[in-house]
Amino acid sequence: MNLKEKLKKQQYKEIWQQYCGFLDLSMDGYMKIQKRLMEEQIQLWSSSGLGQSILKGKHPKNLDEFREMVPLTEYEDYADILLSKQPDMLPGNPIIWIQTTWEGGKHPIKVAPYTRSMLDTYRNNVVACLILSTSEEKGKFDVEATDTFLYGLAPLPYATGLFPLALGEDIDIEFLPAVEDAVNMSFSERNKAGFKLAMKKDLGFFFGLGSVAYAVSRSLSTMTGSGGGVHVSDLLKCKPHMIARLLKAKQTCRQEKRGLMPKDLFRLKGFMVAGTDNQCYKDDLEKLWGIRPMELFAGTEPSIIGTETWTRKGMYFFPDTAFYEFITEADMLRNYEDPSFVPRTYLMDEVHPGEKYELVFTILKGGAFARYRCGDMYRCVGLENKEDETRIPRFEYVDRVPWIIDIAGFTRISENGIRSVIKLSGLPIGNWVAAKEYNDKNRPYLHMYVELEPDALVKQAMSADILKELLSTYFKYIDQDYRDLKKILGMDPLVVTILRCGTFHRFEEKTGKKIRQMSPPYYELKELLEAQDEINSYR
Amino acid sequence: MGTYGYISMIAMLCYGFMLLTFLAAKRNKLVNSFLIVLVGLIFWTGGSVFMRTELWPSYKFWFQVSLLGILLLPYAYYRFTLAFGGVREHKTGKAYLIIILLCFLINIPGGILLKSPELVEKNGVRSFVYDINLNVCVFFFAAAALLIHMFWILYRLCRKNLNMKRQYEPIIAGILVLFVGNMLIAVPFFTGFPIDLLCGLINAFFLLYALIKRRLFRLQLLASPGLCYAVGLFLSLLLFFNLSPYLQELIGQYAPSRYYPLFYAVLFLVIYTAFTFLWRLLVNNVFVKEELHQAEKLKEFSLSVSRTLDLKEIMSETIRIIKETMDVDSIYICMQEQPQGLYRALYSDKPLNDLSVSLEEQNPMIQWMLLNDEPLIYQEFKYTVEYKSMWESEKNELEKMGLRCCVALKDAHSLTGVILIASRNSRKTLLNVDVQMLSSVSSVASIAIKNAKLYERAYLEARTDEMTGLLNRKYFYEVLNEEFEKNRDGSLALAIINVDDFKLYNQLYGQKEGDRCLIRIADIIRRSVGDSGYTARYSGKEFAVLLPKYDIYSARNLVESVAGQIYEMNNRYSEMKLKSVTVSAGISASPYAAKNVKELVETVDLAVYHVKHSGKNGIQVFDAMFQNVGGIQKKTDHVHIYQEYESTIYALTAAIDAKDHYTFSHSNNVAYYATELASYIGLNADVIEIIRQAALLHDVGKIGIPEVILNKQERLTSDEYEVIKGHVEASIDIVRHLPSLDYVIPAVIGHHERYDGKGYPRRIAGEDIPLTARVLCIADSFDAMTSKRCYKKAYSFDLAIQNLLEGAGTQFDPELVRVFVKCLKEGKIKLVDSEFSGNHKAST
Repeated sequence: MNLKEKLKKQQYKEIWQQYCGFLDLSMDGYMKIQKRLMEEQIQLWSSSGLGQSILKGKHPKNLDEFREMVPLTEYEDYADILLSKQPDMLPGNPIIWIQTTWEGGKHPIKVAPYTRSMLDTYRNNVVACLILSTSEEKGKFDVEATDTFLYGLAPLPYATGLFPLALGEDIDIEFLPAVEDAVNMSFSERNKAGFKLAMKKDLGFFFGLGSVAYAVSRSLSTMTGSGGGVHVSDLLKCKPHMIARLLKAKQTCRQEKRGLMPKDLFRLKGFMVAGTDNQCYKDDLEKLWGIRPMELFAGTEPSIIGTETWTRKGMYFFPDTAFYEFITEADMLRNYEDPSFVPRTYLMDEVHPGEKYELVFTILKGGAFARYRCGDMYRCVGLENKEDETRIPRFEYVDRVPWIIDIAGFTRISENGIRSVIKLSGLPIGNWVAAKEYNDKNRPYLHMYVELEPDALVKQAMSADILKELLSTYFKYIDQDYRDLKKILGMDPLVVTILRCGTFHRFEEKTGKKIRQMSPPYYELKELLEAQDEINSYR
Repeated sequence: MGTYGYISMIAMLCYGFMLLTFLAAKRNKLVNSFLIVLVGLIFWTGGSVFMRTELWPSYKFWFQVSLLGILLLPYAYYRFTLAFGGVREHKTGKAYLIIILLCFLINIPGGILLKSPELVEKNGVRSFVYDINLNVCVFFFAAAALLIHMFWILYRLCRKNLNMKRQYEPIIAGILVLFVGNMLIAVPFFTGFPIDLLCGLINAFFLLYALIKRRLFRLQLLASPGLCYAVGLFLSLLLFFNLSPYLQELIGQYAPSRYYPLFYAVLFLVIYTAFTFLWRLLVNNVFVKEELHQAEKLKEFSLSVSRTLDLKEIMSETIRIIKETMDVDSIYICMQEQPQGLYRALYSDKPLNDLSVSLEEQNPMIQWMLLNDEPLIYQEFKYTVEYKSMWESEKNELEKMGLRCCVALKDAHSLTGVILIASRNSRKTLLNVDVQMLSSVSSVASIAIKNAKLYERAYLEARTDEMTGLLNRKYFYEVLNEEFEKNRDGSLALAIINVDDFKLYNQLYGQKEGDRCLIRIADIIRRSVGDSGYTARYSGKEFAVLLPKYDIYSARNLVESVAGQIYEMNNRYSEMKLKSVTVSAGISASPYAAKNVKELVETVDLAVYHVKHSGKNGIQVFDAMFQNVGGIQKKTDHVHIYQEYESTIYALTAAIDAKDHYTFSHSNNVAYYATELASYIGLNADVIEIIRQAALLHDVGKIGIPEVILNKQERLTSDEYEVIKGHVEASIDIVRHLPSLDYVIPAVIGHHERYDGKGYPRRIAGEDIPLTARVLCIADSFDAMTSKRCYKKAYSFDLAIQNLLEGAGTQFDPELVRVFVKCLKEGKIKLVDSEFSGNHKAST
């Protein structure tokens, strides 16, 4: 029986138990699920061609052996087999291949196979998120088969495109616009069509990347126009209560002398966001929609792995999507400096509150990835929570690993990427560091501190603006996602600061080491800027 | 009929139409209970209307009908509320029904509980006077008890779930309206106005709204144009009937009476049109629009599939119509892609359905469908004889899927595909009309699929290369010209990827492997280019990649990645070590290096040529610098890479010599015969060198065979013979560890294969045996025959030739034997005079 039928029969308790019951698990219960599912996965994965390409003839028999024999992996390790889409080599029969952009310029895409069992788990977890997004306390929720859903997500073959399909298997929630139409629309067309339909039919749910949700929400006020751009013919197509709301909203906005906000028109039941930098947008989104978004964590390789609850105080990982291991931040950094160092991993029942971890997961149910480093950092915020009565660890998303700079969940800028941009631009940049920073409006941007070669300065015009222009152009050239940042979010995420020649040298003299080029620690960056000042004072 | 009689009439008609519409809907508990509500309302309103008009047989009869309607209503509401909330019916409802029916029947003759009203005529106005006594409370109490029970259930439902409360709101509102309506009769203001009936009507609309809001039912629409016109006509007539006195008065004030008919006619037409339009609008908006009649759907389907030749579109249309006209969970369309192949699921109604479903051609279901024309109902198929031969695994798969029905897609007498219809819910059954519908859909779809397949094949043949599936050269030029025009203002990159030493590859591993290699390369290119460009097989071993909007830098990146993948691709096959494939690629792009299509192609060709002549295995972007040099530079001193490994070979042969001198001498002889034969059949220097090295190493595996066996004078036992046979694999094992010598493996591994496929170790036959191995086989056998071993004398030259000729076509490649024998006879190849051509030991 699917959700729709259960709703029809009003089996609300059973629904909650089925989809959100994992929140009641004890630590032991949680680990039991993890370990038991892992037994099956070890068997499937180790005997597959893909598994053997990594295990090289070894056959782990239990979890301990598996963790010992399987090295920590990255997409590189799977690229050969996955990109050529060889189903025979995989642990499970792939039903669908999900795609995403990989490293700008070098490898255009990466793909991840999903088996039917993975999709079933995914569907259940999607429903769990849907239910939790509407709940205000344990066991209470408000989902109906007649609800509508604003489609702020990229369609297939991206992972977000799975969401409506999976949900559609369980309940007939109407997506605005319909999925089959949305596939052929551009981002802005989709938003326009979505909002037009939402005006007619009202809106129950909204899900998007935090940054995109924000851009979409802002576009609403421009679409409805502050000067009364609504035609009577449009109004006639709307539901009566929507007309009433619109008219009332217009009046309120006039009185309060502000633009139209989504909360004036819609009373969302559930609001979900995913991606990075959600912290920067959550407050604004709450202001715009009148409801605080619930954060979930999803990725191309693992699908949806975690969700917040009604308390909005940390995410819980679903026990049946993946087997989770954690690397402490210190070990992660040590491994980055010295790749021969093998970091120790901790299981879910070994994490400590307050500690930051890099996530390593093994996809269950015939998934391809084992002990996979997806490059995300989480902070454990607690092992129990009295407020929502949970006894399993909860986490908050921190950011990507330091050597990947992710801006607004859109683009993944790597050290390689920046190097090739500098090379392509032909700019005489001698030394550089790049870091993600936040402006006064709490929006993220990429800050590049560069030191130019002294000889070049006499020959070429070299202002920070010129550098920014040129570097931006090449970032856009090698990275489609970077282009979209401007196109979709309307943001220009690069700030360039030119450091005095010799700053890096002075830093090295002073500290006796080189500064990390990607996301150096805050105090090192501060020291670098101080080194610059010291050069100044010498002169 | 009083002045407001039309209200009752309108109410009646509305109920009537709702009833008709819902009668045609797919029945379920909820729809049935709504029908009962409607029946109750019709009895009540109809009875009341006809009583007031004193229709035949008598007003008393119509009073009883009306009373029955009223008494039925609480029960109808009770059932409806329960069904709406998904609650199972209690006995209370039935008890009420029985009690109330009994009371009603008892009441008919004498009016013990409620007497029929008396007709009183006062001042020419006929009115009904009711004589109500306390006995009527029986009815009230019964109804009230049931209604209280109903409200109690309702209250419990809504308390448990706020959601439910909202859904029940219209129903409660409806009941309230009905109640208020009945109370208002007593208010003097409404005297003469049938407020109760009007409220009944409003109440019915409330219920309808509740149903529609929940979208719980699928209606097959009765909104045919005819019905709309009829409704329009009825309503207009009704209105005119009531309004004509006023109208006449109104018109009389402004126009002479002779214009009455004209005014009437025009007004009637206008009102009639308006009513028809309004009714249609109402029906279209209230009921789900797509729920047209099956026949109409089928017609629509035939039209849409006949309009397209796109197979995918036809499949999705087929799935759509089945989904729309039937209540099923999943639909799969399995197609047979090759003759005698599997019927594999290629299309499904849900994008996330598992398409690993497949049926064998020998599957009894397929056989049954071949013989029968009607759809196969799985449940019925279980009782046939054919079902006995179903495998358990097949049964399990179909049961798991919930198969209900299979429909054949036929082309003449062959079965091109099967539609599988599955439903996990065992209560959902296929109706006879559904099966008939499926049959019609399948015959329409079969024809459309046949046409689309023919068209697709013709389309593909005209545009693509059969082997690799890439575009062919001719069509590629068309695309190139089109894209060039499209990208005049942008950029367009062209790359040509030429496979290095492909002839050698073919000679090494045979043509079949060569073809497989090209297919692999084509796959890599297609995958890498994806949607960003076009790929074509430009010539035998050349591939072209056209990349609109690409500049040279990006195109180069892409080609580098392709070349890298091609270089690595043969490493994946562990079964046989294949030589790495390298490519020479040239890139050019407009507008940077070419101003028209001709220049673009020429510059790319030139770039490829440049790579070819500067050592192959490279990528060259066209550069004006070598435009002039390129033409002159014809030959380069391309290093003979295969001679680099001479020292390794020497070391190995020396090892053989130390262990078994005969094998060493034999290998040298074989090398002589084989290279001679290879040069006479016109192989190039590279291949001849490979054959020489293979000949020297072909028995290197004998190092591992005990000397006792190798030099045994008596006949070998079968076990010993197996050990001897193992030397081929042993040789490969040795050579395999010398990666630089891997190119001799095909010749070494194949030198004991027979042309008729009875050799070892791989038992391959004919042209599948690499040419180098076939050459080696003849040379090896000839030397073995002409050598003297401990268990046999050396054959004479003539006998050896005769044996070769006898073995042509069975053991040896007949064409090679012909050339070899000819050369021997003509003295071009001479019999080697070695120490073993006299009296010595064993052979391979």
